[in-house]
Amino acid sequence: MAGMTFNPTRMELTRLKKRLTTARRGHKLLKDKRDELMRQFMEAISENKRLRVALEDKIRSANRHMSLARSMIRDEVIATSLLFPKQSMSLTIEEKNIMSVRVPQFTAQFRSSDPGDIYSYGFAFTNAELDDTIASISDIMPDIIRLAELEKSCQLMASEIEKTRRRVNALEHVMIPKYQEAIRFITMKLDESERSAITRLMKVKDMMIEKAITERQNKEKS
Amino acid sequence: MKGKVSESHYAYSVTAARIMQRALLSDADYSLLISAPDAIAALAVLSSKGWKTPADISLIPQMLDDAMQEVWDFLVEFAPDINIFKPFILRNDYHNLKAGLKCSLSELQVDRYFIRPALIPRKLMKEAFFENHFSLLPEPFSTVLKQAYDALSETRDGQLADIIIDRAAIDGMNGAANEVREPLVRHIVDTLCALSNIKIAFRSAMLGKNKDFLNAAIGNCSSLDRNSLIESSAKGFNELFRYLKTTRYAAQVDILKTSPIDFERHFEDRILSSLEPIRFEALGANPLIAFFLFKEAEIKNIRLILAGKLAQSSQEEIRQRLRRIYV
Repeated sequence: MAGMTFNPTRMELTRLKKRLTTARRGHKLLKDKRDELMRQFMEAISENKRLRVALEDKIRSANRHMSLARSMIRDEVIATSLLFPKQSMSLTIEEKNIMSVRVPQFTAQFRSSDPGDIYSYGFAFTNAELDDTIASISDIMPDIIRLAELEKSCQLMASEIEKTRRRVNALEHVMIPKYQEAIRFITMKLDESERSAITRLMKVKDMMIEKAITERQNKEKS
Repeated sequence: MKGKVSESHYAYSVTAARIMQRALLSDADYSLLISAPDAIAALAVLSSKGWKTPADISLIPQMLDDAMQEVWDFLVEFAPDINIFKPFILRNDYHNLKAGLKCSLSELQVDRYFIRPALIPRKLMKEAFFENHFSLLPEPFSTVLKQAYDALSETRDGQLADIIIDRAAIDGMNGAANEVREPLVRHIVDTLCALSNIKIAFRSAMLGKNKDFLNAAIGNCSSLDRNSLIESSAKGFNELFRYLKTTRYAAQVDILKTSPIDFERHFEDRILSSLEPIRFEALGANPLIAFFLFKEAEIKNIRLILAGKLAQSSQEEIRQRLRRIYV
């Protein structure tokens, strides 16, 4: 019984049986938690993948617009145009509980509701390609926020799944077998003690009977 | 109105420009550049044509900047009257004004935002911003800067500051062109201002901007009626196109409807094609003006080709965007 020390008593047996029951219940609960987390995780990663592929396409398109804009407008003009953005965004972070994993939920708030406020420059010496670049970058912003939310959730869930899996495995392959082994050992020990007590009693009984017989024979002789 | 320099005074500078003009890239050179497999190979083609190309592709903007400055230095040295080029360069000064203003309010180093060539020395411009002493700049720059500064510091609206300065740039270009007694300069600057105004009107109509915005943004130019442009743009695309159909830009309206980028290219091609007959004149300012605008277009084209190569655009895409140059 490596790693466990206990007295092979009936009290210890009762205590171990209780712990085994708790471990089995915990094992079932943790297994359910792991399965549910796994289901949610699979959903999140499939959405993550879909979103990431779509987002990469959009980023490629935005980069393409930017390189076209840069081919026609000097870099200094583009950089100056974007120095003072009219629109600004703030993020509110809330938490959602998924199987006791607190995943973040981002909500974006924009300073201005006018969609035209994404353009922070005059139109006289810039061109429509720059507008397309800004519009395409602005369009991908909600997806980037959603992707950040999903990636963080996936990370947290993956870490929790890993922890839960370890706990389930520890219970299933270490704790429960140990308790079972200890219970079996104590039961055997107790059975053995019981048997030895019975044997002792039987021996004592035999000795007493023998003694009684000897006494009766001595009495009859005298 | 300033006095016009005699045509014969231009003989020497026109000859010098003619020599420089021979170094402009030809159609065959453009074909070579476009068919180059990448930006490095394109730079090698440019190098074989006498361009001072950098070893590092990140220095391409610097190379183009230096090339433009070289042209300006040449004109300053050889042109009998540099004022005829002032309307074309003014917008760089107005850009530097925007850059300085925005950098001073965001505590950024302004040097990387300034462009060359410019009429106002960089040192003076930096001093005006560093000491917050706008009156160091000549008029109308100081007044415009004051207005833009007030608007930007009060509203933190970069676009508002830009439209104040852009409007001043359009009016300044027009004013400078009217001071020059060269009909060609007046015509070209008017076309450039019309292009800027149409771009403002079109994009404002697209975004549903109101009349106040348009009034602040659209400048004066003689080929367009400012009020009609504002009114029509405020009413939307259809009204704007209807008004433009009544102007001398009617032929370009269909292009504008399909692609504002093609429209811009078409406009610039139109300016360059108007220079074609005058580029072999021996006297007068016109050949110099043609050389300046051809060189400017060449630099634009090289920027376009190199950016296309860096972005791995197809040859056809690059070719579609090139400005026409008659060499």
